[in-house]
Amino acid sequence: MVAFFLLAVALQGGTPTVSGAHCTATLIADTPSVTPGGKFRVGVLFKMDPHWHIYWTNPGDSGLATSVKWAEAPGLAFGKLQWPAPRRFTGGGAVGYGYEGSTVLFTEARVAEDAKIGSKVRIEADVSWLACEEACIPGGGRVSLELPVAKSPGVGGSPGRKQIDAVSGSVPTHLGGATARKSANGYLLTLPLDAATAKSAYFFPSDGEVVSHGADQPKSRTGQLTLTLPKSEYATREPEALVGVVVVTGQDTKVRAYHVSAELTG
Amino acid sequence: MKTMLILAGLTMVAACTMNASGKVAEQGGSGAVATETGASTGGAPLFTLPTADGKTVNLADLKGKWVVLEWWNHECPFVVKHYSSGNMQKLQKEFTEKGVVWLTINSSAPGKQGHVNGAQATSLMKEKNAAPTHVLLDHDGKVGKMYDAKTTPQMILISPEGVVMYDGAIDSIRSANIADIPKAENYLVKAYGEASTGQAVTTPKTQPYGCSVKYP
Repeated sequence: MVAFFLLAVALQGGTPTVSGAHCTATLIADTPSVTPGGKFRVGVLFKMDPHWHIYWTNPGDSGLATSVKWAEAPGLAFGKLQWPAPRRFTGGGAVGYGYEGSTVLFTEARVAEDAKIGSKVRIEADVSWLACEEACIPGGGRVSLELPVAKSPGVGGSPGRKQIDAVSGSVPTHLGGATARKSANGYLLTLPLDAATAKSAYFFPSDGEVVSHGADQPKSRTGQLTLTLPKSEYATREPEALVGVVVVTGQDTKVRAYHVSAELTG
Repeated sequence: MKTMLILAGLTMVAACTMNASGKVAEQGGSGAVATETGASTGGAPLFTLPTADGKTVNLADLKGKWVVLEWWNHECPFVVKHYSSGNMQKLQKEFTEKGVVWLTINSSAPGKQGHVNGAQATSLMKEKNAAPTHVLLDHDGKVGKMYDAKTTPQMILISPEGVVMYDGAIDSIRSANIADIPKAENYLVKAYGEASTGQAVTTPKTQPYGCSVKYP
């Protein structure tokens, strides 16, 4: 049985999983087969040992962004990589942004119209990460997966679909109408959301050296949701806009994540 | 949904601990090791620390010399990047040949990653053919916190007058990949080049990158 499984993997020509110390990465797709001109989601499932984490695009004070780079694949076009909402880690006064437990970084892929039924598309990605608990250990490698091209997408789903669905709800959605202005020690970020309905909110800046990663972000209690963001101790110039992800925990305990880009005025 | 709740809970816990840790840096300045601060703005806090070979270094005694502080944890992948490439050793040689005092500081607490005793530090430095003037043992992390050192590596340049001229990342590319070293701009080299020739330092402060310092 095991031999058969190994043989099957070998025949597919590649390995979907790379393992490192305290973290494994597995290439997954939300469908068992693809169709000419069809779209599907493909991603890398990261599983970390308890208490170990990997990092978001902006890793925070320490750490390193996780990286997924798709190899050029004939007959496939990849969309933008989707990053689920991060969370914060603290340790020794350094604040990190990232993921604990497991996460999936995924994208939408499009199959060429002229893909031949009965052929296969091959997906390959170079993955790298830094897994940290107290200590940090880098890992990575190339993961690959082949999917058959069929007339219609396979029925019965795939385990990959459940795994991608599990995180897709926490991928930030675009929120327009955010505004930002300078304050005494930093910035005030105002969102078109009702402050009273939010239990807590946190702004994850896309770039370092803009707002302090370690400081509290006091929020308004009434009116529009406004966060007071102390300036980064490493800021050397004013940014043109505050760009990042706001994660809001509602009074209903639901967590919602938004992409915001607020031009800085005054 | 369950994951979401956990996420929310942990985010709130994180916010609370941050309050506490944010204060640490401020308190550091009045710690037992700190005797006084330099006269000028941006004055380098003074400290006394034991060296790996059983001596003592007092920053006050180094007045009149350029001093580099390098935070070091030999097991951190970002430190490994700069030592296995030979980059850090090259910098140490170049700077010390010019009369700069290079102090490599180990702020890893006992039992944490990168913690070394004097003998281990000396043997690791010998093995790597490294050339700092001294390796300093800061096992209670007081000096690290005094300087608000966040990562290994983190580089600080102090002028002969005792003023911090540069504080931050070793270079401009945040990665653990050796191949990035030649492509990066070395901020320490740039700051020293400017400051030692009487020019203004164009990049006096950057966000350091690396592993968090393993404080107690």
